[in-house]
Amino acid sequence: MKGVLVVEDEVVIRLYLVGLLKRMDIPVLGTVDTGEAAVVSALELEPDLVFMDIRLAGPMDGIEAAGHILRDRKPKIIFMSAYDYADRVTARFADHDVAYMSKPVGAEDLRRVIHGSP
Amino acid sequence: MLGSFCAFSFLRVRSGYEALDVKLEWTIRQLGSALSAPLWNLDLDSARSLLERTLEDRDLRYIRVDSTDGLFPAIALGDDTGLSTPPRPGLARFGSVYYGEALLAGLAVRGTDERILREFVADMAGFALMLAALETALSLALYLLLWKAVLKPLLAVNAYALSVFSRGNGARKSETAVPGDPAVRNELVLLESSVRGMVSRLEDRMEEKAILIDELSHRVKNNLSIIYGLLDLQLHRFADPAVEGMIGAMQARIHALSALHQHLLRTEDLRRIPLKPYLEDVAAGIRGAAAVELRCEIEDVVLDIETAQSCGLVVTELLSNALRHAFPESSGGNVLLSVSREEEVLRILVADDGVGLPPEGVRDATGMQVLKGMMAGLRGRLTLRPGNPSGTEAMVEMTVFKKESMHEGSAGSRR
Repeated sequence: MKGVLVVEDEVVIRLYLVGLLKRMDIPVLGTVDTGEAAVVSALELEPDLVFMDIRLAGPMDGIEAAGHILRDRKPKIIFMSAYDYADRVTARFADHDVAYMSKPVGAEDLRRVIHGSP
Repeated sequence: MLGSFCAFSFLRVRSGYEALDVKLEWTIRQLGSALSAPLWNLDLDSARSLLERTLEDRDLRYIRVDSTDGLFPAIALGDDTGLSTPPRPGLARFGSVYYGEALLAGLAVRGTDERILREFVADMAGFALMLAALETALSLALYLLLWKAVLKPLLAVNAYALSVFSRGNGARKSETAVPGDPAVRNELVLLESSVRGMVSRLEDRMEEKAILIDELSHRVKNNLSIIYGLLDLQLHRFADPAVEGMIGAMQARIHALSALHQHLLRTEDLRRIPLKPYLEDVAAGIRGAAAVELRCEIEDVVLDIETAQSCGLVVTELLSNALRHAFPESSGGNVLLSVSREEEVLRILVADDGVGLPPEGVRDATGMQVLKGMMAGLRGRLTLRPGNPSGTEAMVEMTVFKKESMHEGSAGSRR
């Protein structure tokens, strides 16, 4: 795996995720906290996995950012939110490799989603 | 009782000047007995006697003269009417009849008995008919007035209120218009528009409240996930299994609380929650990466949020305990979570086939303290016993109430 991009504006959760991924030996290519930065970083870093928070610091939310990213790149996108956006996400990105996780994200859930097992 | 009424007779007479239609008008008094018989029973004989009584009446004061140009009132004054002498059938003579100031002298009314009678009966019938028609017209007008001014606008407002009421949870602020009838009075249009304004404002407020509740619930969940993350960051600063166990237990409790909010957000009713998916979620979170076979047998029960939250915490403690203590060598094994309800008793059983209870008894750790504390609040009972054939069975029995009694809100039915 080339690595992941973490898009999360909450510092603690960002640190937690990065730590979790490192312990799972998954390289973290970068972390950003806005949708706009996520689009730029995804084009530059070409991650094969993006952890995408939905409510972000800037005006662009995670769903919109994912829409931009998926136009040019095809990374797997794992949406994460404390809000229940599962239906919206699965409906919007039905043709793409996306998953949805409800926060708080447990280590075991994360492992399952990354490896694609149910 | 009808004391008196007017009868008319129209006779074509010839005066010295021109052909005139003369209308005799007299007041008939005390006709109650005669009129109490239906008109169609008024035979010629009784009509005749009625007419004769009438013509004898001294109260005859007026005649009207209809000319071809229209109706002119003429006055026949008192004794000059010529009727002071009893009239003979067929002849009524008027000595002096004035039309305004002009004297129409020597006006005589002639006719055969039969003709006078016919005219009289026809007039009586006509009069009754006119009365009936007048009454009908009046009622009709009154009804129309009521319909237009009151009933129709009320029905319109009612229909509008019903449509607002039946809108349900789906479409908000749908444009349900009161039928725009121009006949609907301004006041009612005003009433309708103010009702509409109130409804719209209420809907706005409800929408704001719903957004607020959603936002609050999400904030709670977000904060729980931050605490979860913070604990995890702390956890990895120490390589101590005791700290790891403690923080892991805290994370499991936070996960249980967070899952409750997650499931609550998916329900329409923010007060009650289906237990099965919620507890399955909690159990899966606790199981994590443990090498155990976890089987869930959870009955479909809907509980109020407080009881559901207690169940989530009970399941968290019982399952965490089983996973932490039953399989010390990471040997793997089987754990059963069973939740069933009998009447008002909810039974949560966690059974494992692990190493069983320690001979020195169970330590009074935080988990046990939480459980015991909850048992007091839940009127519940915790039982720990050796499993059959091996392992441990931990069972919590707690009192829940039927949802009917929840709805009734009787004082004694809630904790």
